[in-house]
Amino acid sequence: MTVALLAIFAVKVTSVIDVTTKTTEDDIQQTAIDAQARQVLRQIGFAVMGSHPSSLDPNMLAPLNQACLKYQVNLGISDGEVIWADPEEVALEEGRRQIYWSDNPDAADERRIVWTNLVAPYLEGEIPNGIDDNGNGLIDEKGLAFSISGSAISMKLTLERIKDDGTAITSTVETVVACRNMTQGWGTAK
Amino acid sequence: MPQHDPRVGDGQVRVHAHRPGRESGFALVMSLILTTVVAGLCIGFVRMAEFTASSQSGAVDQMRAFYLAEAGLAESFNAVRMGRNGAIGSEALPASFGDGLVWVESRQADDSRVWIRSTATVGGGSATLGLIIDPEEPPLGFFADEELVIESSLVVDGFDSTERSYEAEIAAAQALNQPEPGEEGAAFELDPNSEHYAAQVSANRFSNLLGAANLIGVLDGQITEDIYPIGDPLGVMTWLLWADPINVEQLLSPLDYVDFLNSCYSMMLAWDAGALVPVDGVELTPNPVDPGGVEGSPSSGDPSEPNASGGLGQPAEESTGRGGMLGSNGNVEFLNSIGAAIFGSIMPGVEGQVFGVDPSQVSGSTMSRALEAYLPPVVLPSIEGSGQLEHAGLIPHVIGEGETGMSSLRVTNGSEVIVRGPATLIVHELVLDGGSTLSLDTRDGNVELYVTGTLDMDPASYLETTATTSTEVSISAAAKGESDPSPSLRLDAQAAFHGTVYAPDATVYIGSNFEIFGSVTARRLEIADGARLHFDDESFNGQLGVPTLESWQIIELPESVKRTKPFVAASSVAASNTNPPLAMAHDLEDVEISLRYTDQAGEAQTYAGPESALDWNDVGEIEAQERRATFDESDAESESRWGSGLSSFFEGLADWYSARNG
Repeated sequence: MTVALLAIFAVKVTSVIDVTTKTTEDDIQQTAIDAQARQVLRQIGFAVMGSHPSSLDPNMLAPLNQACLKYQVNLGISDGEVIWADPEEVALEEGRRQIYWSDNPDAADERRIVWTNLVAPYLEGEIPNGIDDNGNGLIDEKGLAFSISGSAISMKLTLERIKDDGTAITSTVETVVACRNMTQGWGTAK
Repeated sequence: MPQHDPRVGDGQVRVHAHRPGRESGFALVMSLILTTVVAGLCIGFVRMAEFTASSQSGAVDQMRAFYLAEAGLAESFNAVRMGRNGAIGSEALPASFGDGLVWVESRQADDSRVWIRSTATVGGGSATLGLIIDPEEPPLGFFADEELVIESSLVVDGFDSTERSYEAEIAAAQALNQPEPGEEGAAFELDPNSEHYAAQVSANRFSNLLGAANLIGVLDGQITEDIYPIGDPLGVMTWLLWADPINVEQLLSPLDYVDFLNSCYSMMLAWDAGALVPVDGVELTPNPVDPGGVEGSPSSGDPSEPNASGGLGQPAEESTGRGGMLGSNGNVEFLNSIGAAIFGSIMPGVEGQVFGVDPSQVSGSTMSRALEAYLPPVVLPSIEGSGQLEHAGLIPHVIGEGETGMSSLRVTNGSEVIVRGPATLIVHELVLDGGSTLSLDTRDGNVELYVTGTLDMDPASYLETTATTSTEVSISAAAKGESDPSPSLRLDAQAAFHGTVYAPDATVYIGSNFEIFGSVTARRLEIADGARLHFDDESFNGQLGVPTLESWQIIELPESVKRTKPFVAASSVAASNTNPPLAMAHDLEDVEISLRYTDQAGEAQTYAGPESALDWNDVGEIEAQERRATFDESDAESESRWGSGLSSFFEGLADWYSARNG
């Protein structure tokens, strides 16, 4: 009798712990992926904020969009001239589901830093069918999508973690930043 | 009830031994285990919640600090625009905003740019942003750093090319000068309730220009109705203005003549309807008309005629009657003031004076400047070029768009050189011979001309511009090297020059035929007899310009902030108690202000001194203001104010830039 009771109790306790652990694990993973999505988006925002709108490449207006963005940031004034940094790039590497920041892209001395490995193939709710499935004004956008309007850069990001049971935890964030350097020196930048 | 045990006899009851201690212990153990598990789970949840909250609050604090630093930059930007130095609070006593702290440091570089660094802390977040701006100084008018010498008669007035052209400004001034109803000088009575009221106003205006009798003569005898009643809506003409006996076109300026054509038919209808009633004393008998002008019309005589008697009188027809500006850091001297008419102000230097002109010849103030005007040096473009060009030929030589450098450019008699904008031309010696023409074509872009040596225009040469505003053409002069002689500019061509001349180290001579619509700044300014100087205020209206943003950056936190993170939290707590609000943290002690204003009682007032001593509550409307902030430019001070972090940052940047160019 006692043994039976003990067994029942043990089963119950194990069950509670198991359920709680699973719930907690999901919550932790969701929290972590949310935090990472916000962090990555913030990093991208800070990176491109100091650029000149004319330096943005490519420069696509919604509903067109792009998964990479080259830009040049302002470094200040020297000898009366506005100085612009070498080109930098924030881009999605689809095969590896990575977002990387690159200094001097496509050059021999290119330097890359990976900011995340969890990018979803497409933005949440979007499938590649030539229409705007998720109603966000963009068509067939990837997990990282930039669209540009004047000096404003709109950026959307979906991160996705596949669990052991095959289900996915996703987090989608978006923001708009304005290029702060609307200076007239871009045209004569060297 | 206990059951009977057959092994015991009647009357005996066997009672089982009861062992309650073993069962109670089991439950207790189970409870303890359960409690421990639940407590462990709770602790886990709490820890996770704490971690999440901490992580999110850190990110939020970081963003709040970033935006607070931007608020500091914005506040400082506007402070520089107001003439302050842009510094707000200090690291020792930052300004408070919400529950965050912010302080802004500023420094003015040699090229007059202002470097601003804003640092903000909110909770656990902190951010530092940098801004470089170029404060725009309002134009000084016709200004000499040392001495302004005026040979004889001249007319000085002003306009605002961003608002309307000079000609339109004159027309507006003339409209303003029309007699008001009941005002002395009105030739015809005004009846605001009459359907001919607009015609009565026009009749009063043109009676001033033509004479009342002559105007009625034209209305009565020279306008015929229904001469060409053409059905084509583009060509309908229901009246005809005859040119005889009074040719109005010859008597009025082109603008006035157009206005007259627009209103003469309505004036004729008003005259026919008896709505043009002369006021008492106005004689409507036509006067003999001088073919060259109408007696009494301002257009018939010398524009400066009202000044010949020594008084300013009414503005000449060719003058806007306002807005002129002659200034100097030294004296302003008229060698002969006969015929001089200054429709505006003369401002000599702090210790300077105005000599040789009657106050009645100046419509505005002759008050000395409160502060010496600072003339930043010319920054010559780094354009290489040693070519020489002496153009002699019937076909104009075109200097195309882009940057061009020359050692000398000479345009000979009968030849023309066209500089087509957008263009920057730097030349050491530029000479216009008699009969030559230099054209500055700004239809596709501005033209910037830099002179490092001599600019000499023969009085019989021509300078033409297509510009309509003074910002389209600029002539700047500066020596290339410190040991090179100062440039000299002789602006003596036949010209209606719309542009600016800036030569803070040069002597500039303005000839009598070189009419300027813009501004001239020179070390020494000499103005010939009969010059006409029209100051283009460029919408400043005595106010201060908006600085140009040249660089915005996210920069490293100062070392002191990195090292003292606890300071952040502590100071945040103290923010609401001891730190001044952001808007109140500007240091006004370092701002000298010169102000012309109307007080709340409507009285004209002036003030010069520190802004901290000015009671702004008494200021009603500002007519003009000038500010000068004090930037401490000593190396030691700037090093301490900017901190080694930023200094090394910019030093590193300069090294990087040099290496990159090398």
